[in-house]
Amino acid sequence: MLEARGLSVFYGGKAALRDVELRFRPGEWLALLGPNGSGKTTLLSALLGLLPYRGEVRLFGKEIRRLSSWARGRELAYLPQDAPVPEGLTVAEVVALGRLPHQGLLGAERPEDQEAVRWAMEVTETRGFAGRLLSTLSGGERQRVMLARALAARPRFLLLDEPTNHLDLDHQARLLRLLRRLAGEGMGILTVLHDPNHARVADRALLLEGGRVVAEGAFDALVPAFLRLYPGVRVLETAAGPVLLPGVEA
Amino acid sequence: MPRAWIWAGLFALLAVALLLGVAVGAVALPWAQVVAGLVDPDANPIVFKLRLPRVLGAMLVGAALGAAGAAYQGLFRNPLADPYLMGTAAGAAFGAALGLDLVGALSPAYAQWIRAGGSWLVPVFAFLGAVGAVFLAVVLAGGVGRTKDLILAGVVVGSVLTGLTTYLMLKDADRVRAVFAYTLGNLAFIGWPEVVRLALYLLLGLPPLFLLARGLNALQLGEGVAHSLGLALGPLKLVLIVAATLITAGAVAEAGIIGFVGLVVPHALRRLGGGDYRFLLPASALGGAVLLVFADLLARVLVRPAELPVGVVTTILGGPFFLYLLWRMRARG
Repeated sequence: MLEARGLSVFYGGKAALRDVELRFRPGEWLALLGPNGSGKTTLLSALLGLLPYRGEVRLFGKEIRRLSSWARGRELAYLPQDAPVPEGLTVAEVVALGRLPHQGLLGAERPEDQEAVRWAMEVTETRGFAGRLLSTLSGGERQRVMLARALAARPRFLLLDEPTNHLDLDHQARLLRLLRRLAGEGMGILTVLHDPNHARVADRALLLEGGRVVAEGAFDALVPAFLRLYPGVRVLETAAGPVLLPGVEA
Repeated sequence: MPRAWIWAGLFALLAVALLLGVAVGAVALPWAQVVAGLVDPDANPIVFKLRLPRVLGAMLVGAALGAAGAAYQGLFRNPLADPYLMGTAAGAAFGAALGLDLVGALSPAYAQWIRAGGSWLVPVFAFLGAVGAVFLAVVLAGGVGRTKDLILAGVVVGSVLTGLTTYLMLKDADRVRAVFAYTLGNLAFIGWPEVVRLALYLLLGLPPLFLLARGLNALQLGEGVAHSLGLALGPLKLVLIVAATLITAGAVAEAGIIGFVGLVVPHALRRLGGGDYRFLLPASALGGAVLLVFADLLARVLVRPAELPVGVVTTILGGPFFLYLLWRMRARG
């Protein structure tokens, strides 16, 4: 269980997050939605311990600041929105870095490390370019390698910040299917999503506004709250459920 | 290129550098005497008392600059970072100028004088100046948390200290030459005591760098990811800075400011053998050792029977080489 209680984050006296409550368990997919600047990335960063915060973040009941950083790294994996591209590292070397929380700085590679790396490259379909330099790959391929790096730790929870950014529609669909599958296999997934429609495949979504959670629930139930927050949006009713579109007259 | 080849090549070059460095000089020595002198300390005093310590000193200084350059390039995720980025060079020059100022009057033959009585003051002050400059930069940056602030603070400390050094130099015309000679870098004064001190700095500074190589690899993915992988970033960065500063300050104190080695060597080896710091840190140490012995060889023979300061040679050779690297990068897109 990963949970936040009364979680607040301040930037220079100004609250970027205020009294956020959040709970989710392994096997569940939770989406964070909200307008630009509503605190989605801040919430993700606070859960990872990247920011100082007030309140509590608990991982299986333990306050995350009291865990060793290696223990936290084994349980929570992170895929940032824009990571720098390392110079001179191959895909295989980058994915293997995902095993760092299990190995420590000096640990040798064990069979289970190789197995985890192999599995992570298998599910992200990145084995084909294992020997290539990361800097020579396309943006979409790099994103999959970074996901493989996060998965290589075999974390209980995977936190992703706008993972569908920079991906074409086909790769967006593949990524969302993979996340669905990982949740089905028992991994907890938390995604900051830019396009609210993607939250349809999540189990639940939190809608943030001005650093507070203003609505929570399944995608369909959140539609009225979306329309209030995004006045420019139109709803298209389809057989598969409501779809949100930018309301522009052609 | 396979890393095994690179290692083999570096060790072969190091052996060649050692032999040439000992054989070549004002007095030509036959190979038999060179080898005999290396094996038996009493066989040939030129080999054992003069040239061998100088070659070993060049190796140790080069190793320090190569490894520190690689560490800083990794820490700041910037291939243009060099060992002097956080103010070590400016701090050492200021320390040397202050040391010369405190000692007082200088004979024009500053070089002999520096190595004669009271000479310990200048390297000690240079070392303290280098370490103090980095300490000041870290304090001004508010700790090691924000990497960009560290670079900015290093630049600010460096330029203020350079200004102060210039002021100290202008107070006394003799001092201009002495400090200037120091800032150009020179291996001519390295004897066995200097070699022992340099070895000590490296013994203290290199192991932490090598042990933290995987942390540097993780840092290349960004600090957020490195944190999420379980690294304690504050201690990691602090230890890297302390270790890299220690070996840089040691090298600068004993040999002056030698440019481009710490910039070019890690850069070239990254292109040849990749960016894994478990390879790049030790390979840069070895590559720096090789490069500096050859550069010192050139410094000794180019204007024979006089000598150039080795820093002049590395700068003259390093600048075009660096342009060549940039040009190749651009050609590849």
